Amino acid sequence: MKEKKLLQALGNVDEGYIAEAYEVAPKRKKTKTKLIWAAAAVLCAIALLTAGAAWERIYVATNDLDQYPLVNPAQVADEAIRLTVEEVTASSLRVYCTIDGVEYGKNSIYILEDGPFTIEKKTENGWEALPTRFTDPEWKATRVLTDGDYDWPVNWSGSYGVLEPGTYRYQTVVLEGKAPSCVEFTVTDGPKEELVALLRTTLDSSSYCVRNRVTVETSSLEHLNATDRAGIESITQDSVIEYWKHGDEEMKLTYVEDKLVGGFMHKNGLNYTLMFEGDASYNPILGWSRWTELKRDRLFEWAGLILDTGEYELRGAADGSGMELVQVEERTYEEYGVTAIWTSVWEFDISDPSACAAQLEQQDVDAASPFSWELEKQSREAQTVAFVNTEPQPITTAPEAVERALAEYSGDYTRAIVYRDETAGMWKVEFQDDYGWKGYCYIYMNDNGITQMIAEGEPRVW
Amino acid sequence: MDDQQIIELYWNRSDEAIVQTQKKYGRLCYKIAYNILGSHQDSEECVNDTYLRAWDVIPPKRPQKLSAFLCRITRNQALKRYESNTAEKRGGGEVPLALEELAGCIPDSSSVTAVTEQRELTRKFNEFLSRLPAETRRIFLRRYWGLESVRDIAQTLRLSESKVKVTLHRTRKKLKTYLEQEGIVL
Repeated sequence: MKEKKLLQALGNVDEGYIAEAYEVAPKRKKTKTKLIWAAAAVLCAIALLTAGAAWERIYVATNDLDQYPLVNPAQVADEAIRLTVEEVTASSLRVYCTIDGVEYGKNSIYILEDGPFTIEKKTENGWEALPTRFTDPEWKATRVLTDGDYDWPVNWSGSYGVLEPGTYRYQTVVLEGKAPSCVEFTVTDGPKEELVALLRTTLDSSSYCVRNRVTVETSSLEHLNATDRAGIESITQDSVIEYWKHGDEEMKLTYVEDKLVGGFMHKNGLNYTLMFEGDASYNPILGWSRWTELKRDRLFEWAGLILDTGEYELRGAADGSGMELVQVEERTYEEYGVTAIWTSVWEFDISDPSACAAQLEQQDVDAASPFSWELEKQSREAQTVAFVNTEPQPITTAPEAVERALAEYSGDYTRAIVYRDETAGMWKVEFQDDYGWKGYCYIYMNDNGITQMIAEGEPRVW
Repeated sequence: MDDQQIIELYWNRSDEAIVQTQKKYGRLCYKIAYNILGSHQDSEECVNDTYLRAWDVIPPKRPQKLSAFLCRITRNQALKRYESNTAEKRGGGEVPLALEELAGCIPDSSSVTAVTEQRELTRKFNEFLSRLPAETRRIFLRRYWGLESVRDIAQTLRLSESKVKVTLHRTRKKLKTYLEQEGIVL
């Protein structure tokens, strides 16, 4: 049928058009929920002050949930919220939560699945809070449609490390405004004793490089046509993920077929992500840009991930340097008639702090991407507002430009990207609100840090 | 959770990737599958197949647009299932209607050069789509890519059914003219 040919050809059209047709942009509910949760925020602030951290809440509604009435936490009794845990390792677990009285399809609810939690250890004197390595300043309340059952993973590799054997309790607030819910769990080193020791040694080290190399070896591809060959080759690419740490700085880099395709970093007390031209990771790298959404736990997640794995083999020295964890898995791709052997090797190295220091040192967060002040001055519509930056305060680096620009911009932003016009002696700081889905703000400043223009950009569309 | 984070979960081989995918895109994938298959059970299975396929492909693939990536897998899985269902005389959905409508877009073949390469046809489609206003493009793709009913499109995009019908009619006419001008013969 000829029309079928059209249907098939249409099936392969540009993904941008499909995404445009089925746009699912993240929605946030800040303004509304700030009012709803105002009283709870006070409670939270008190709790967090005692924890020594300044938490910030972000409310996220997954798509299409607005049609369901939101459950009012005041109508949920504290004892109606019950937690159990499964898949316990020394560095992670999965929490199962049951909330009585919530019916599927009748209401939606904000769950603090990504919220702050504490781990306490049972001692002779009762429950003792464990010291955290750092506090994460941001957490999210996700609005979900639930039948009262909900579960989420918890990985404390970064904040608490790898726990010693013992009895612990996990404590968190599931619904804001409710009393914290607790659940006990037991950690044993079990059969993975040697591996747990290795992870503990590595995490406790002030410098390390943990590298995960995945290589894929396929059976013969000779029987495949060019399209299918390209298809299976794209599925079976080799990849490397590296986690670097030196002192208080950490970084995660991801490579595919030796090309750097992603990176997160905590450096000089700030969080960054790698930016690529056109926001596509196969394009050239633009550089590091300020990223407010990075949770530092993500830079330590490797420990929890490793402990969660199945069969493995440990090779190398037992002192924590130069050790390797090897996993081999065979996968079959029936549609291609191909089998592939996936080999995942985790390498641990704490022996060379200077290499770790150099690796983090060479990440240039001071650089800025080029732009043309002349062109943008003409093309953008300047806002008619009084500028704050009217007294000289020279700017020499990208972080300085962001700090200076923040005096002019009080809105939310997920990314801040710095541009520089060398010839004109101008800086541009682009603040992306919700990655641009809610708009952009551009602050233009000269080398003396004096604001020359402020402009806004239309929200991003697919 | 943003798409980049979900993709990271796949890369980390975390089961949570499927949970988050289901949460964010489960309903959308189900809708696409249901439009094609018209059966709850088949659509559920098709969406589950989509998750497994995504799990197999990420890593090492790093989709540029996760929503489009998942939608495409779902559509392909659903069409495959539709074909086997119709062979067994089961199934329904919007496919026969959409095919009938698309048949009207195929130009007469007497005066033009035959171009039957699928890839070339897709390239021409991309070009055609790029010339359409965004709203028209959305309506057109929801109908002929996602095989949604006119009623659903109208509801989702908050348009009247007649507006959707007229837009589709005009766009089909444009497509036919365009394909003729481009010398497409199927």
